[in-house]
Amino acid sequence: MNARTCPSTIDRPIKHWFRTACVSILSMWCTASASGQDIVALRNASIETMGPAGRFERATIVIENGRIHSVGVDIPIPDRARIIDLSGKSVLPGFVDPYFVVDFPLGAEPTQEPRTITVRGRGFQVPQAAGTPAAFVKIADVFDPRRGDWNSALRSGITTANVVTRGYGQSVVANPWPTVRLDMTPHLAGAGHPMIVEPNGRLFTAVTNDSASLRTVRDGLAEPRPAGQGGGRRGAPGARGGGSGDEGAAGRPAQDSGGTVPANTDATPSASPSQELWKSVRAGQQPLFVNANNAAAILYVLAEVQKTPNVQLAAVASGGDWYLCLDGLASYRVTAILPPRLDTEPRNQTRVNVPKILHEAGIEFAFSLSTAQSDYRNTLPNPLFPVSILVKSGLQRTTALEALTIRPARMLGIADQVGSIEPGKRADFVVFDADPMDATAEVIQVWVGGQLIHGE
Amino acid sequence: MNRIRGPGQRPIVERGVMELGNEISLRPLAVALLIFAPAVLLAAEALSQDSVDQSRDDKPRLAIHVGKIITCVGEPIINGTILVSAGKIEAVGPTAEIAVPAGYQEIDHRDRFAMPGLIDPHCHVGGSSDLNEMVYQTNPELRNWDQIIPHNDRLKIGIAGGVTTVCFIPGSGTNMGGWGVLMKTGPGKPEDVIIRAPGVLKIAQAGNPERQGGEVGSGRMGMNHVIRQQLLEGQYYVRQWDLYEAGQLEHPPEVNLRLENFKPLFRRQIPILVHTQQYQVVHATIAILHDEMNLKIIIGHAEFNAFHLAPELVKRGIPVMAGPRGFYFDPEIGQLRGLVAEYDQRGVTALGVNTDSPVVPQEDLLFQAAMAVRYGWTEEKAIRGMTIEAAKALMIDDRVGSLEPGKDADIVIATGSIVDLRNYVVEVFIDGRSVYNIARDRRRY
Amino acid sequence: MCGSRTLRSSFVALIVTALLSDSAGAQDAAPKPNDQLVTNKPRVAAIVGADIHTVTRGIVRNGTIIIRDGKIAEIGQRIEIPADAEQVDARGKVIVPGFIAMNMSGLGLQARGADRNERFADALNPFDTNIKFALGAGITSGCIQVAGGGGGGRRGGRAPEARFIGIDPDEEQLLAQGSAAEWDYGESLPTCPCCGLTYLPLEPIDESPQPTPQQRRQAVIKMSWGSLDGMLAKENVFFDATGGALNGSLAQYQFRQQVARAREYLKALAEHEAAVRAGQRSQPPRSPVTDDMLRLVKKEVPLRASAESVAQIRELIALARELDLRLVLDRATEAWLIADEISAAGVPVVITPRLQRTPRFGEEDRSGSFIEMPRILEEAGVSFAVAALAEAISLNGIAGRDLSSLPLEAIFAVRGGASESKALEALTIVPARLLGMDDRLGSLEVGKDADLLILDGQPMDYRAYVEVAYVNGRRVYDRREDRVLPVFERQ
Repeated sequence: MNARTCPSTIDRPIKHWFRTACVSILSMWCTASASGQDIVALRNASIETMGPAGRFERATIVIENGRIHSVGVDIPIPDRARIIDLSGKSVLPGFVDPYFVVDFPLGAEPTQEPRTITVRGRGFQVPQAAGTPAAFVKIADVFDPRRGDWNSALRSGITTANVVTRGYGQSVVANPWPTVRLDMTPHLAGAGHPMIVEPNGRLFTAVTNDSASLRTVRDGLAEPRPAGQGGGRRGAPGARGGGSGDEGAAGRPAQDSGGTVPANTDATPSASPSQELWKSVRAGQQPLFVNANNAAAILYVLAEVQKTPNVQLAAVASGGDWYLCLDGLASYRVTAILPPRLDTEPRNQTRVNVPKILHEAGIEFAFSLSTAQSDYRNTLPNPLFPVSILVKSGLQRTTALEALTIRPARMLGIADQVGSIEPGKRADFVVFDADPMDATAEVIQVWVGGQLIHGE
Repeated sequence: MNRIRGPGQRPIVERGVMELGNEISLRPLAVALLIFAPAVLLAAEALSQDSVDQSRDDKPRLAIHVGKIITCVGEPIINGTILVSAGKIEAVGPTAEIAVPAGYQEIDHRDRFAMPGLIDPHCHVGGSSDLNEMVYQTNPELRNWDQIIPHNDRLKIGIAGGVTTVCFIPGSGTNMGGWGVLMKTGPGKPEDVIIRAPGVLKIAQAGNPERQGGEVGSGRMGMNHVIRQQLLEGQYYVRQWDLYEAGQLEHPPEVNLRLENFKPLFRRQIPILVHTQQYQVVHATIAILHDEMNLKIIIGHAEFNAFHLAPELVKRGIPVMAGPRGFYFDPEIGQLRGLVAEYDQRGVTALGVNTDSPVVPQEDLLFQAAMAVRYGWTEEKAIRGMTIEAAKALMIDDRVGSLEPGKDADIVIATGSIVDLRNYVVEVFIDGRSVYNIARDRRRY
Repeated sequence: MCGSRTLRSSFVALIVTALLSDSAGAQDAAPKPNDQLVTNKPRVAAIVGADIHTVTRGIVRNGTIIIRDGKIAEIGQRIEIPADAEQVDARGKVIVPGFIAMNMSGLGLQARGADRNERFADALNPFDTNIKFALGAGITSGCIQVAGGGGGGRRGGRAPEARFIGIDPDEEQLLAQGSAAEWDYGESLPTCPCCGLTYLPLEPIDESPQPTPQQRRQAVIKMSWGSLDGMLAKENVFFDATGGALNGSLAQYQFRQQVARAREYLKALAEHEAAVRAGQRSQPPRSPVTDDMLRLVKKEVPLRASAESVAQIRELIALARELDLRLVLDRATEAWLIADEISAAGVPVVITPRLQRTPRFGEEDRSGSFIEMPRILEEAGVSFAVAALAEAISLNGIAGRDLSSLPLEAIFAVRGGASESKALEALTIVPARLLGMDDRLGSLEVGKDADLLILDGQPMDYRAYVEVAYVNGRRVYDRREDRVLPVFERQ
């Protein structure tokens, strides 16, 4: 099936040095002018397409112009294709990390993620500086390719990352680059860096059970007051979450760096980027990415989200206590973003397979390999070791692999480009030397846009 | 007085003359006390009985009629009578079977319970609280019975909680804090209240005696080393004397006053009260003090996860006097475990509780037992644990711990089972004297 | 008790099947139906067969309680069980209202979240494990206190109680942040050099004035495990002057001034409002005091102040009478000495019967604590609630010293001669009244919140365990499922 002929329009001998050089210097995704126009055929591999075609054994992928031309068993291989034999190897689509946190240097102090720590059996949440809500940060504005552990990401098979920071803002979608390539690229900070695929990414915010972080969500989800109803002090009036209570918070200036106050003065509440984003979130056009890392914070967010029926929620759960609020999760369309990790119950050592429980409760989830509390840096070069443990303890294999690939791609709205091995999609692959759910399987190659970025 | 610092290496020849003189003046008394303690006390009693007025007040003859007598030997007696004379229990039995001799004062507690006085095997409030000499790591030359304060305020409240005997011991600031004393909580001169001196040796295995100053003993390797060295020195000394006394040595060994108190210890006449809590530390206690040194030991504290060693303790018959912590939050299972209940379930019968007073107030010994029962022990075992089991562990069950003829008349009268916190103590007798009576004294607990 | 752990909940059932040991079977199994996880519990429950201690209306033997929508719908002996009710067999058990803690901290809230700038409503954590320990002790609601901390303040650092085990590197950070949520009984407690555990204060009561403390914020929260709904029951409970805030003439002078300013303001405000109503131009006055002070002066909340000694108690009673304020006396250790005066003033007190304070020298019969204080207060007709020795749940291993020993204080009240019914009231209806919530809490009556406990013994029996706890009609604690406390069969 899917056996197609590949029109061999490009005929150029590839030399290793040349490939390296041109890949290093030029952007890969400018398809029209791309110079990496070669044809590569990966043969004899076990292929998890994560698409409708399912799994192939001893199959071939033909790559052309950085995209997948065809995939299947016994498909024709163009004469001029460079053939790479992957006998005994497994190929997966490149992994999509839906919440890739990078600490960019920010002008304003962001509200940082709270942490749950345990001292002698008692759990404490240690928030960072409380009080003011975090400032809105457009990652494209502060993007600095020197930040972020891109090498580790690549070696773990992450080929697409939704890059966020710890506070509140708009992400970028980027492709990790190896350090060697960054070294050969003029230092370009900001939106223009060629790593960035999509500079106007998704709205994200970290939330815990405190007024400041909840206010960000409440203000954002509240419908703006119609013009002429009076000069509210905040950009999103009426968003106090329905509580009476201390007026201390009311006096604080809005922290939206996108220009809330000017927007309010001319009564056009769509002036700032954050408001545009919230508007599309309210309309259900894009999901809201929320890092709510304890069960109580999730309840708070759900309580807000339930007031606005169209909102799609993608919630990061870095705590092991997610399963405690399944009732709430199941009652609302939440897609979870989980660290691939076998957790323990809060305050005892009973193992808990949170992904499995969520799946069985009908809650979709994606894995974030880079989540700080997962140990992907420790498990290089077998980054799926923790996932394989989850599978061995009852999580369905397909669900686990989807959570690394197609589901986060759908979550980010880029499933037409990445997330599965289907003709027309970008040629992003991770090649393992054995079955990827074999705990000892190692990543031997990572391909991005038809280029071998990591491995030999 | 240049002492060589180091475990077990303080040759007596290095000591100053003055100090030696002091030691000489004190030590024979100690030796005499430890060997002839019962005799001395009996003599003291005899003396006091001879004195004219005192005898009638101090050692009255009593017939106490009680609704229920928990003797801690055999079944409880319903409607019983306890005959007391000369500070001892003369007879215990059903009222119908006990003929009250003439001249006995009859005391009516027919609607109440009687039980033996409670014994706290781990107490620091029997005297002044300066119980840690921190210079040396092992201190077999130290003893604390010169600083007891009989019937002090804390002991008085302790009596109101039914406590009549305490094991008053040095602290755990060093690995061998010194020799503790077994004493009654009631009034009297020190020689009146002391049951046995030395009562126990205090050893702290770990968990407080750690040294901060850079010398050996900042960790368990060093601490176990100094404990072993000191005990080996004592063992060798006692063995030499034993050989001499058995006629196997021609000349007597040189007297070493620092080590004299090791004689009853290595002759297994007194136990070590060991400050040892957690699994690994209790394990070291068993291995070094019991298995290697063949000494009588009591596991004091016995907290955290040490209960997993219960089978080893049962095998060796080592008593456990747990506390002051009563429960352990087990991080494995996220659940509280009642410590005493965990030992009980694993077959430890030589089991009791302590207060480590003032950590837990002296009067709260019964509260410690009540909490142990709340967490899964039984009331019956709790009452035995506070009396006869503690007496056996401390090796004073010939004197106290049960209501039997010949034993000390230490009797607690309460409104019901003392473990039920709604009940309270109404009268306490120590050595046959009423030392607390809520009709006479302000109720204290 | 430790051998085979039964399953904690239906979730755990799944977790256990997820363990590595049975991976082979589980791997191929189809996902279980969602219904198993989405537990829409019936909103109607009938608890049948228990002896019900209603507290305000006697004991109903072998009775039935119907819970509907979080409230008590019916109580009695002959009650028809609704068809849609989940029936709970409680034969041989005892049902009492949930206990109410007058002092709580460090549970149900994010440790630092509820500071001065924070709304209680945004800082709740219904998944705090400490809630389970509180429920295990029978506490279903209580007055949570944050910030400030009274004159005594919180313990500066916590003793290295578990120096062998459970040491978490994060503890350093926690202490550095000062967010250790453990409060003691308002004092800096001495620590045993031997084991690092704290002693209870025994020394005579110190009557010297303490620096004016920050006011503490309180709210009544419920132990509604897993649910934010109805967890925050009430804010602005007291005007807080605990910790000796009104100790000494200077503090009292300043307090009087504030009350006077508040009254002037209220008067000016009334005049302003009257003027506005009359159509005149008028500038609204600015409040010179806090909202808390206004609520106090308007008698919406009582003044809650600690007064340990006779002199302090008398002072505060006189002050409250002079300023016409409602008063609740906290830590009234010497109240037994002037029970009649307190009774005549109609002031309720909060006591800790286990507290043992030595009399002052020379005043052996006229100072300090007294075990029979509860009896004396009861006989004098003084209304008393009990408070635990500490405000937070502690797992340091010392039994009966933390918040979870609250019921023991009532048991000690019985030890001190109070009747068992008064002791139960001191855990239920009296604190409910002091918190101004006796319309909802504190007794089992139709229309009140369904906060109740199913006990396996008499309420004043130290051995009795809470088997099941309901809060707002939800079953939030089950001893055998939650397994935070020992589970065993009593011999």
